[in-house]
Amino acid sequence: MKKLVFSILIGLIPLIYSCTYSTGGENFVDVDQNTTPPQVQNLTLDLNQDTLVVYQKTRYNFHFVSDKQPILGVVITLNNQDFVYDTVVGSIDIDPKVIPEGVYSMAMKVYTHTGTGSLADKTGTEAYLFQKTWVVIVEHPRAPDLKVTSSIENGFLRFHWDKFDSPFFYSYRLFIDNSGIGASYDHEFTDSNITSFVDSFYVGGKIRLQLFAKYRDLDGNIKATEFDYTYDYPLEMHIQENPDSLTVSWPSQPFQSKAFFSTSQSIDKTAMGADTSITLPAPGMGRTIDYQLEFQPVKKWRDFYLTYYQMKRYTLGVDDGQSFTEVVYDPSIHSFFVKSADYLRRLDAHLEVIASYDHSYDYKDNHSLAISKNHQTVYAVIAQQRRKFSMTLLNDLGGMPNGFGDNATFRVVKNLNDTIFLVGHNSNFSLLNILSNRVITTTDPLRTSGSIAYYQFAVSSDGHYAAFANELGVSVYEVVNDRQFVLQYENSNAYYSCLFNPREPNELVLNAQDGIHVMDCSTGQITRNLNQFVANPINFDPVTNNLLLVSNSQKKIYVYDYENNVVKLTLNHRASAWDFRLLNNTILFDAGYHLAVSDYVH
Amino acid sequence: MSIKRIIPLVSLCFISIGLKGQGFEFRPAIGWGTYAMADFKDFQQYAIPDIGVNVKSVKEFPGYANFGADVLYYLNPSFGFGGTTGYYSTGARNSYADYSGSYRMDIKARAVNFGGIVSYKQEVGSNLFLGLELSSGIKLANIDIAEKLVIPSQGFDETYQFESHNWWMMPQVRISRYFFTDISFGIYAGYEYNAKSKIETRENVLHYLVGEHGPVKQDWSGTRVGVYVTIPMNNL
Repeated sequence: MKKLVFSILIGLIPLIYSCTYSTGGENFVDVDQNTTPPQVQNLTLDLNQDTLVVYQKTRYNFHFVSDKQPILGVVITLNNQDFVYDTVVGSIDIDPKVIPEGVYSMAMKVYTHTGTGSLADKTGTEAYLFQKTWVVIVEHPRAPDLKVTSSIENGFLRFHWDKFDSPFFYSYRLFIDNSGIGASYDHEFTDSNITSFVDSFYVGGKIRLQLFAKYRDLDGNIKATEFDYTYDYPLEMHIQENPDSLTVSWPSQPFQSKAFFSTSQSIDKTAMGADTSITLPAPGMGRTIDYQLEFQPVKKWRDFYLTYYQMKRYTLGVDDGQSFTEVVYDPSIHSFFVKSADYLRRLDAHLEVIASYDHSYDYKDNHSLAISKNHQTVYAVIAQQRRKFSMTLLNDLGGMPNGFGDNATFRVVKNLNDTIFLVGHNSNFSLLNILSNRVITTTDPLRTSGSIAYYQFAVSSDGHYAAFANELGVSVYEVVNDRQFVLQYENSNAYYSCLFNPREPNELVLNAQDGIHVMDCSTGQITRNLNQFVANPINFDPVTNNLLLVSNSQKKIYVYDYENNVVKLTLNHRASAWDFRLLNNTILFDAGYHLAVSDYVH
Repeated sequence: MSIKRIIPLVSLCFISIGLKGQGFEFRPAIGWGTYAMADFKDFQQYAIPDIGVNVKSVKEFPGYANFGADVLYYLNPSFGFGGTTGYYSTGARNSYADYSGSYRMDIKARAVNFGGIVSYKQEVGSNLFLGLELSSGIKLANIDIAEKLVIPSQGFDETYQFESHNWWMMPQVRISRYFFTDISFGIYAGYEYNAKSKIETRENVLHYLVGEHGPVKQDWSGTRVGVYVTIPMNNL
């Protein structure tokens, strides 16, 4: 019995335990599931395109409205990241600084209530879904690589460049340095489709285009990449001069312009139209002339025209750069010796410098060149010092007083025997012993009136005669035994200058007002007249013995075969008669130009 | 220690006492009780979520069966004293369900009483006794609150566990009749008054359940009726 009761009691324990209250009951609501979805509309325009190209931080806004069931929320998924909005108005920022460059898909899901009123509807887990996807192209700005070219179209220069086809394009900025007309100008285009520019100012010459391709970087700042392009349509002027005429020609220009021609000798301009050459009277030898072409664009620069100038500086002859006060030629060593106020130079037969002695400016700049008999030494008075130079390299071998004082002006110096020098100076001829530096004898003062010029003094090639001719007459002295002067001849005719024929030391060519006369000094008789010339006899060429005559009035240069009485060359000139010399069959102009006679006379 | 463990141990203890004692009565009972749980009912309403659907309280701590056992020692045929224990449970549910899902919050409350009892009985007829008793003691309670939401792709299922203890006292009237020589059957009725107490989390007694008006307190007060059997210990 006890065991039975005990067992019953033990058995009751789990029974009691299992009889613990258990909650029950369910509040089940029968909900109508059949509803129709609403119409959802986006009121903003930011997201209307299917492809979104993002190159800077951009905000895309949305504002959804539903005509029936309210919108639960919006979820935008971009780059595996969800952006959840519980409002119908919102935005998403796409920042290329955060998102690597690439192509992404962006999905926008708009959830609306179903309107069933169910638990899932109310808690937002049952919804109508409206979805749209976009292709998002994230680009990072980078400098473009544009190629610039040019072409000529309808007479205008057109620059072309590659299209900067990028969403972060900002503008093309053109900075043009038009050296032709000497102007700079710039333009800016904010339309990336504009890939060329017609420069109606360009009419030739060098033009530089700096194309700045501007773009915005990730921070919105504007950056630029420069592309440099230079175009040149050089205008090569050609000048051809013959003894009678000078022709300036140039290639035809493809650019629309008006062409004018002018020279530095005149302020007049000649409209050239379509002509590409102009022929002028030959100006001959002399200082350079600027020949200028001027091309005027059809378009005004503000209220006036800028023009493209092209100039060519020209004179007949070759520019050797060796300007001179005095020049001599020694045929035995085929060398010129030129003397100016600040140098003494030895030139070869082609007028190339062999040696030079440069010194400070010598205001006197005396005519004083002399060469030793053995052709090893050159003498010259520089800064009133009589100096010796080695022939080869013009090394300064020393100086000493000139023998006639610091105020002396030398007109001509003739080396008689390397010791005795015949010197025309001031208004005298003197014999100077250069070893003792003693004046052996001096003539009476020459008859002078007004200015005295070196070409009024002459010494025969053998040193036997010395002559002085001016408007008061001519005086011819005979040098006797290199020790005294004997007045050989004198008259009172008017002369401009005189010179001796080096091959006939007795022949004195007198440049008289009534003509050119040749006098035999030994007799005082006129043996020849050169009255066919209205010109100044300048010098005999020591090589050819041709006589150079230069007319100031007729602006003519004559190379006269003295012995054969033939004018070998006639040229124009526009300088002073005494600016020219004829040496080694070359006409030298003291401004540093020369003309080989053989180039004209064959 | 949970109630699930206490119940068997205490029952065995009483049984062992009865087996060894003389003049003892062992009195198992089964009854029905109501439970005030006023705070809890407020909390139940307060906890109805605002999710757009009509969540209703389908159960609000209804009366439910309880079980108990007393051990009494009678000093004389009328007066005795002893120990008492009992096991109580009730619960509540907030619910909503439709085709798309369901929401449910269940509150399960279980309690065990331990206490002393004084008894006075008087034979009022042939083998018919009328007794008055007063019992009092401590009530240990476990409360589980489980909240579950089942909807497509979402939802949750959370359970929160609390415990509480309080003092109780119950006067009662008993009527019994001996049908066999020593074993009587009776009925009883009484009202158990419970002192209210906070409902604390098991993990930290400083954390307790709070409702709309402050801390939620349990109150098991209510009517107790039931039947019982008296078995003299010396017969066991």
